[in-house]
Amino acid sequence: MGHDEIRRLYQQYGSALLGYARAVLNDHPEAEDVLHEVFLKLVRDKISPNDPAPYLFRAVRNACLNFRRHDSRNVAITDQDSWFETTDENRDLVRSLQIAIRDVPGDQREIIIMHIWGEMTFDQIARVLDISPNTAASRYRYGLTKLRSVMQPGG
Amino acid sequence: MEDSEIERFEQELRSYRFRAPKPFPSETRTFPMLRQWHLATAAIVLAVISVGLWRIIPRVQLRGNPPTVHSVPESSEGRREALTIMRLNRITGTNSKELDRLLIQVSPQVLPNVERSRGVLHSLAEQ
Repeated sequence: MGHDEIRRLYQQYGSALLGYARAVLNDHPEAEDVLHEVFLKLVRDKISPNDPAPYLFRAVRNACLNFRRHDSRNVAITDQDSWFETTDENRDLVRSLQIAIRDVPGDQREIIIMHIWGEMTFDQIARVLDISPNTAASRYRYGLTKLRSVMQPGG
Repeated sequence: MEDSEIERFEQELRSYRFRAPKPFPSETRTFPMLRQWHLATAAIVLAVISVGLWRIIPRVQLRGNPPTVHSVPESSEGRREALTIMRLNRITGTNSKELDRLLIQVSPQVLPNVERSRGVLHSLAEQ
């Protein structure tokens, strides 16, 4: 895979992968470094995945889990470091969305991010997580319901 | 949650966009290397120029006869004569030796001392 192709993947999936890494690492500030390491490995090892999205999410997931094993520091979560693009109008909504995503159980949270922002099918997600597509779909549904209940308590 | 509700909620969630990460790693790792090369080249050029100047300037100074500042002799009346523009005008063209003597007398007072160790010119030459 050439540099241009890797750069295109980075532009296409970078934001979703960074959000995913933050979610898996529980907002650890090293999430961006983990993402960069994954892409550097792609360049270094000249890997050409057939289906890039599942490969990238799986690679980021593995890197995050590996990082978490070696770095057990407790990191204070700062509200200033927003996961999402923020404007003056949506600042409060973005903040509540970020808190809500963090409140969703980890296995459901990962699937929500991969499906909504990574635009991955449940088949692809299932391959990343080594679960069946049905399990991925049902976890997604549970997670989404939980997310909405946190965001819209009355709804 | 019904399917229609799920779809509506999904649409709402998609309207939020994750922040983009920093530029692609290869770019961020290439540019600092370029900057390091530029800095290293600039430092070498500066060092070569400095050494060149350091070796050339003393020779230039030795070739020319540096003006010697003599103590100003006192006039026959026994007092130091006051130097004015009027007096210089009068002497110019009539008494070249006297003009030379007066200019040597006044130069230390109006021109910077190039031989002073902590002078401005010394500092500039070092740079």
